[in-house]
Amino acid sequence: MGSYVLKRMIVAFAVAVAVSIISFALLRMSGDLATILAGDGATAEDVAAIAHAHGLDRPFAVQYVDWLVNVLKGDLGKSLFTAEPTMDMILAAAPVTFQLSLYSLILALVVSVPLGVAAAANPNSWIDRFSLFVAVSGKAIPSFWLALLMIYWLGVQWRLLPISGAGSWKNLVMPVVVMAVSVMPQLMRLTRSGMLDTLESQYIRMAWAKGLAPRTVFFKHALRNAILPVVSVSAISLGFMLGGSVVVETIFAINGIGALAYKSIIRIDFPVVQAILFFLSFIYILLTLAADLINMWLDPRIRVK
Amino acid sequence: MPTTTQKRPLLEVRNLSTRIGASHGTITVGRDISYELNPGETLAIVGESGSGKSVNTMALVGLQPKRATVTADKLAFEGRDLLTLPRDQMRTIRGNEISVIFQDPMTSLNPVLTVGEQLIEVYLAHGLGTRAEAEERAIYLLERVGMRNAAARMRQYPHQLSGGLRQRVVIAIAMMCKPKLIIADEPTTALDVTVQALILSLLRELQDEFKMALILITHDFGVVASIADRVLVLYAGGVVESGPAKDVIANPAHPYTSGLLNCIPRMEDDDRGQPLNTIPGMVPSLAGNLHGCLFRNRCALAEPACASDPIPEVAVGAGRMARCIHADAILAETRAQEGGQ
Ligand code: SF4
Repeated sequence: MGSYVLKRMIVAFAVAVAVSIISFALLRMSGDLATILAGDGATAEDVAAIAHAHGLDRPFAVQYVDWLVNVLKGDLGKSLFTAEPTMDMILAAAPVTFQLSLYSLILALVVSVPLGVAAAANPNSWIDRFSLFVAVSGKAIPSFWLALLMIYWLGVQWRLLPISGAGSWKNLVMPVVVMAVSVMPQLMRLTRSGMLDTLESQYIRMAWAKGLAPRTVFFKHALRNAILPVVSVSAISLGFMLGGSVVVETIFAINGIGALAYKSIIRIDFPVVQAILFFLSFIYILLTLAADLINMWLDPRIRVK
Repeated sequence: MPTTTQKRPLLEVRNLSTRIGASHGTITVGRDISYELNPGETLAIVGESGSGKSVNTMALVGLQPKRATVTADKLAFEGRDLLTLPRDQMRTIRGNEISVIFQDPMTSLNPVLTVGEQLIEVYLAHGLGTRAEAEERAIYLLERVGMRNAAARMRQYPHQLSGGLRQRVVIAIAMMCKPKLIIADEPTTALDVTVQALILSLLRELQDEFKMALILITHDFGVVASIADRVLVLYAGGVVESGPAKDVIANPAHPYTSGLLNCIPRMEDDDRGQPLNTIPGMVPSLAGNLHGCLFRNRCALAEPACASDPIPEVAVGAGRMARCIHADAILAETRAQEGGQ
């Protein structure tokens, strides 16, 4: 078991390095950073000066190794505009995004898992059709549109919730719902299909033959087997929300990671973008590791491998 | 235990039929199956795969496939009608008074629950005592089915056990609630040949000791000979012959039975789980309206009369019957063969 975790950590570390190289390269391939930074009307000398000031005139490999050495020393670089350490900017923006993503995931799971179980337990019943309807609408409705609808009705027309900003739990309701709706369909369909497969299995027939109550058969016997892929996808969804909440954070004026990334990309603050990508890849790795550990706890067969 | 139930059979099945609705009409997988089972008795239900031996037997405890409809003139367990029993009452019988042992021990245990939990939960679900009592009984039964280190085994997971050990666990689970009847569906087919004999003798021993009745579903007359009191031979969903196991095996009265008997798999043949295909031909389609003897396309003795309906049930000796127009003649012939040897 210990060696399994160790192996996963080594792989995870390799992935982190690979992601940082790729993101480093992509940023530099997106155009000549110095030219963009210098802006229209800059002379060739200006561009060269800027390139030199930020070390962009050096070979790619040298730039990367330099960056990596600094990262290992704990220095993720400074913003080109505020000269603030990128790490501080990220740490300031992270809590609200974390809160938002975590609540969204919890809300999504609380709705989608029971719904998926109910749908699988009664295939082709009204509840199955209802769950399919929920899944399809969740997939089909764009986040920004749902966000605007909610702002219009809940915020402006009925004045039930504040439409932007932070500070109270009320501020979180709408963004959390919007993000939960976007990840729910997948979790729900996955729960349902996993349950349908599991319910066909011999040990579920055996559980019925034991005279166990349906609740016990569905939740104790079937769900624990069916939930494994849901755990893995939950981790990925959470990572996705942590990095991909740009739309929601922009609409609800939340100063989280998504908003910071958006702002930094717009103004070519490449050290910040680079640091965010590195930070997110790191979080992704932690999340998948956490998912592996949870699955290991749920499924004894993984434990011995 | 009171002996007043001696008169009344434990289980009475009269004209049990099972139909499965398919997109292209109804398939009749069980037709007018009737038998009785006394307390402590062993009945073997024999047939090839596709004979309906599993479906119709699992239907006793409501474990037929979802799309199947089960009907019967009588389906009584200790006088209680199993067909009309509300679901929650059926649940109090399942696993408690009637236990089931499935064919494949590799898949009938839940991979994410410990052996101990899977034993204990059935005892607790039927409200038979405390967790401590359940644990005590579980350990006792694991030892009784021949497992060493029972207390340690309780904490193990199914994948840590061999097939033979898993089937012992399944048997122990079936016995947790001291059932009056165990339904065992090919309990040894998925196991090693050497383990098969051990599990069978274990079942027989336990049955004797705890006075349980046993319905054994099998395709193997070797198994029937070693354990059954009576035998019911199913073909294409209908009973073709029934009677005391010894008599039927010694002198079959139906061409299908004698065909099966001629192809008992020898122990050294490794054909576990294989359908017996040594009788030429195939089971006919069970869709639509069926008439006449369904064995006639494979029967050497078939004649026009075999297509007319219904083929009468012929009583052939004490407690025996066969559903064949030539039953008496076949019986006489097999007796003569036996006498001549
Ligand atoms: S009834 Fe006719 S076809 Fe059927 S088993 Fe007897 S002889 Fe063969």
